[in-house]
Amino acid sequence: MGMSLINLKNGEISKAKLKIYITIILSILFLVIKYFEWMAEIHHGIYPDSEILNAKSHGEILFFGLYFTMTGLHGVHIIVGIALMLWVLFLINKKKITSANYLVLENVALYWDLVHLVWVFLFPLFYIIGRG
Amino acid sequence: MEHTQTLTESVFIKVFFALLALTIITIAQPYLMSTEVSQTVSIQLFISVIKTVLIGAYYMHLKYESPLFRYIVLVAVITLSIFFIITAFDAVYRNETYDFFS
Repeated sequence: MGMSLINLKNGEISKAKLKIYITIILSILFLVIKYFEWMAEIHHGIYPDSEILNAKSHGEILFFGLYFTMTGLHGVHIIVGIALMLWVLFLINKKKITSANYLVLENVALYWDLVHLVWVFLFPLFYIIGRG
Repeated sequence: MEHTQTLTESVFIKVFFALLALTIITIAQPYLMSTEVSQTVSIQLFISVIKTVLIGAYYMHLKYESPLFRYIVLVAVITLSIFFIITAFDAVYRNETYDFFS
């Protein structure tokens, strides 16, 4: 998204659009991976308030509760991000976002960086620490 | 807005590879060192903070903003950290009984 902004400011509209498309594809890929991950857990009978999960220790119930809430919320942010990026593409096509008027793209890029920043913390906390 | 003019695509790509390297360290760390959970948490969060600084400085172009703007962000981060630290103390010492007055 940031590189797309640089392209747009330099007047390279098609490059800017290509980078937004790449971001959308990568974020959909992320959501697909998370879908399979959630499905694997639900297949094991682990989902909020399931019998198997409720039989586990308090710590594990807490972990999976936080895990589902926070990855789920992150997923919602990504879906919102994809919608915003599609909107940005629409505005670029309508010539509402140009190399001189790029505020919307800049702010969407900032939002996207923030979503990325959240994952920087969620990933080690949920996926890595348990391996220690 | 002149501030982002200094940010180039090559800087973006360099930062990307730096973040990628840090992510590899994140994944490899528990296999390389067999440490306590608390130490793993500290190391992992330390790496995350470095990544946050990189993203904030370059991707969110804070490095190119005015000092006032950077201080505002810093104050917000410190305020948020205070709440995180208070909560962390509660989580860590929750199961221990300390009677302060006896």
